[in-house]
Amino acid sequence: MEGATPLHLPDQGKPLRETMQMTNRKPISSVGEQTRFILAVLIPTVLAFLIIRIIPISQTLAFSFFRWNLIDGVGKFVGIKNYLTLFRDEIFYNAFLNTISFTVFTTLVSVVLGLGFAYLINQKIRFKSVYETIIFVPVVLTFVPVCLIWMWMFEWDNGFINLVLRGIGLPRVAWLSTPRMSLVSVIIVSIWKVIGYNMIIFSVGLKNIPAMYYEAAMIDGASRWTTFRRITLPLLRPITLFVMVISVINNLKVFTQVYVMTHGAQGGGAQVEVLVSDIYARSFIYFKMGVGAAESIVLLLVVLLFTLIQFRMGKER
Amino acid sequence: MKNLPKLALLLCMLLAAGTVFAGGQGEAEAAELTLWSGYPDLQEFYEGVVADFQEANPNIQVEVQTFALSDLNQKLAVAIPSKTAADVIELISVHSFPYAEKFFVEVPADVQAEVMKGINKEYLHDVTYDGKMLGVPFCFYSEVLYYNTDHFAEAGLKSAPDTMQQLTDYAAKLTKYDTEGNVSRSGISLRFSGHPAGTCEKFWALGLLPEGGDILEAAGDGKYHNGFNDDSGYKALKLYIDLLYKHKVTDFNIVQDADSFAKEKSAMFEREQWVVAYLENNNPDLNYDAAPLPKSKRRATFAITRNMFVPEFSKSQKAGWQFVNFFYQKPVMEKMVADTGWLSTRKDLDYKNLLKNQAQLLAGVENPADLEFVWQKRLSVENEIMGKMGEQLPNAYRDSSLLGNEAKIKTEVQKLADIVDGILKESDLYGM
Repeated sequence: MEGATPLHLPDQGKPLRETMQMTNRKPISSVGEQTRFILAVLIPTVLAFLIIRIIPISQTLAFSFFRWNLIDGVGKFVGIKNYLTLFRDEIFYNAFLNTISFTVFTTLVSVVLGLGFAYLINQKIRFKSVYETIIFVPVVLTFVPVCLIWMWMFEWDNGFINLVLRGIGLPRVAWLSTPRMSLVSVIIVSIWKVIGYNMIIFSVGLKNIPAMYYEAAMIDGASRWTTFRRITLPLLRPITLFVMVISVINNLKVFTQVYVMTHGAQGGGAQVEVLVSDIYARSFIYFKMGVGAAESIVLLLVVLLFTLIQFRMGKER
Repeated sequence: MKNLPKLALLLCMLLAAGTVFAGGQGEAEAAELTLWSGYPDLQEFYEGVVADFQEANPNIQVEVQTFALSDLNQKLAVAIPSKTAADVIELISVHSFPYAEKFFVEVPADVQAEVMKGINKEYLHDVTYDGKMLGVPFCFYSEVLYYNTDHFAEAGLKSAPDTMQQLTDYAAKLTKYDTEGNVSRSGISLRFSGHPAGTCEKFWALGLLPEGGDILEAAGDGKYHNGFNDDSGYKALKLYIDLLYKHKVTDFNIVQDADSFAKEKSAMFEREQWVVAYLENNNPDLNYDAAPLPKSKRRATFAITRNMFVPEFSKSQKAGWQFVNFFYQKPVMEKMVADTGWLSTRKDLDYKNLLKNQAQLLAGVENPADLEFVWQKRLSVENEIMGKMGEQLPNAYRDSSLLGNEAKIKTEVQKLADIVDGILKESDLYGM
């Protein structure tokens, strides 16, 4: 870099070396200083993590073994009684099954469709950004009004979807009238909402796959499907794992769309209850914080289990 | 100069006395109050009352904060136990039960005396604990039957059904079907979903109460058990199943409740008095009337009061009660009825005159002699009982195999009874 202009501080116009000498600042070199620097950076982060994550989770775990009514305060130690109360409750089982069904279907379909759209968008096509925007728009829309609009579209009598079905000679569907179809409707809306996000993440992954692999495959005469299966999918494995893990965690926490679309509609009742709404009801409507804490721990374990399974499945072979 | 210390001492004493006097006066008169209500539609009315109150009590500043009912309940669940809630809290009975004895103070004697002059004493039920009055019930609502008079005329029906048998017969006559055989107009709209406690309330009023049942039955010593695992529960659930699958007067696809009635998609439905204002806003041209619920073994309805409470942690309790007392005066209550359509618990109001433009509301105050008011039991778990029952009931309603199957209906009733008794047992409130 001979002849290069010395680096200047913007406001002083002096070369950097000169400024450092002036301020008598030493480069970070000694072990002690490095340790101090690391601690200074780490301690706030670890503290924050401890305060907003570890302590509340530990407290929730502890409270799940106590009789705790929000009004009366923490009562006596009851061992696993709160868990037994939960496991004897049909509403909990419904909520659990609904949450798992919702998570499995929404995650699988949204990941597959997200990848599919990303793959198509990454081809040499015109108006690529227009398609991208159209698919991504639902992600940025506020969920509650979106759910209300979908509810109108799902309406039995004059809903857009049933009008279309009747128009093409198919029978009307009771989208929000039965518990099962209510759940299906919620899954449809949730998939529609999240596809754009998955597509963007997969697009980034696809763009990062070096072209030489495809060129080599082409020279070897591999078909499009073989190329996709043998090159794209394996190289997308870390991205797929990321999308799956995030999707599963988000879907296990489902609440808004279920609450807006089913609790006020004809579907209602325990069949469309999900774990988060059940935790909320037990804790803040019925004030049974102990049982609510037990259910939160169950949800935490389910999330951990799903995440571990996915990490295991996504491990590089 | 010799008298200087004496003079200084006198001055100090005067200053101290002045400070104490002024401080005492300030504490007695000046106050800042916050009022929380779960009815945003009343914000304007409240603000009008506050303006009048502040004119009469310039040292007391009142701030009214209204929230959607569910938001208020959420807020209270945290704010009351942490003692950070408002100085005056307006709550419906069932939401007040968990807090009342622990957090709300007794109404001062002078305010009680004032309230007792005007109130219909029956409405004190939900705020009275061991003879202590812990709140002022200023407003009430009860279940009545709304019916579309055009639909009735079209079916040749002249008045509201008086018996449960008539209710079923009328509903069958009033139902309409489309070409595919689906219900296009319900003879009676039933409540299958929405807030679970509300679903249970409707079953309670239309199903259980006429058959002599109740959600809870006292067992003595402050203990309770379910009050419907008998013929009343069987008949109540059978009514719903028959209406759905035998008479087919409604189904799960057609829109239900007030929305359905406003859209003229149902000829009858049971609800509280707020419906009148709702219909005024959503279908002002609707021709309808209201009547007491039909009878079977008895004619009964439940009533729920809306009450003003002052929590024990409020720093302005005296001012709080002063406001409540002002609020419950006859002119304010008259204004409330006339402006908002909410019915007051005062017995000295001229409802005929006040409700001349909303005659349907008279069904809530002109009660037939045989009408029995059934009250909740003031238990902290009552909301949970109603909610859990309301979550289970739709499962039974959806089971068409219950039609004509007495054993299966009884099994469903048993399930509901187990839910109720289970909650009572968990809270040490169960007794036989």
